Amino acid sequence: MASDRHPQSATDAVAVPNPAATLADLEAIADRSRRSGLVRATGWPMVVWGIAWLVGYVALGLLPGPPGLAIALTASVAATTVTWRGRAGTTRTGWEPQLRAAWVVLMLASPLLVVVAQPGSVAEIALLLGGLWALGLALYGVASRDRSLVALGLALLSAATVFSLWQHDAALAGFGVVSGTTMVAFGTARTARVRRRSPS
Amino acid sequence: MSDLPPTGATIPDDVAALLRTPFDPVLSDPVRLRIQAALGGLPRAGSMTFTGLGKTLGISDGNLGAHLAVLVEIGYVATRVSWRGKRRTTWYQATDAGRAAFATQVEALRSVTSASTDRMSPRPHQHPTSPG
Repeated sequence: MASDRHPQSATDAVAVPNPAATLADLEAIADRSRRSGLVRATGWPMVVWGIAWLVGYVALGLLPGPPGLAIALTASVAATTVTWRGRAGTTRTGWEPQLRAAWVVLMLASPLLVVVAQPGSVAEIALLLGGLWALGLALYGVASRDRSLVALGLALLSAATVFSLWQHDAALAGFGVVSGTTMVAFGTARTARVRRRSPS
Repeated sequence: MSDLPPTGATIPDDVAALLRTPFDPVLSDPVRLRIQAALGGLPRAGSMTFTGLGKTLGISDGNLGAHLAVLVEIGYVATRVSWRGKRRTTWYQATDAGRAAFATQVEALRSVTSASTDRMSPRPHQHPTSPG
């Protein structure tokens, strides 16, 4: 039988061991790299903010008046401080300054929108702000091309809508539990997934 | 390049042309290719620290540093320094030239894989076997 092996064929001249495995490895590396950038902004920070939402909204719902408001504000300040101080990671997407500025604009605009909407109760104010910030999260996801984050933002906005229609004293606390646990689960899953795929 | 004996395989002209093109000598090293993949996975304005690269690739600092230096010198990777108080951090970013070279290298690897797969698939015309 004639051999079809030719020692000087074009493919033999290329010294590339197992190119298919190399391509798969490169794809996995690029994916890890891309995800590490996502986790820094929306992994553990989402866990922190989820806890803040859970504590804040439940406090507002169960402790009407200054005590509940004080706890909610404290939770927000604590979450802001923790996520701001931990912002220096090992990966940057290059969009950080613009996205940070967008969040600042959203926060500054929030009280103005409350004045415009003139909601009738603390619960309505709190749910309006929750829906607004959820929308901000979804838009952040659009800007950073993070579809999961867009879905999360829209889910939280939907939850704010549902609970605002539920005329019940437990609406705020209910929104806090649902939104807070969802955010914590999202951030935990995202952080765990990157760590699981890391080679070290 | 010397004349090659007829292989009997059907390699498209564009693939054959690509196979004759030398691979990028810098990115032919697997570590440097992986470094470029890690930085290329980020957006164009994205960057990564030395520690981040080491964690992503799972290689030693010495090995990483040596190959990064080559990529920086050749212009495939750019560096930028940031300060946070007294803490200095160097950020590594893939340049346009680096991204283009990586894309070309990946395309060449895909062509080799494709050509290898084509050679292994059944051919319409079989060569006559020798009597013995």
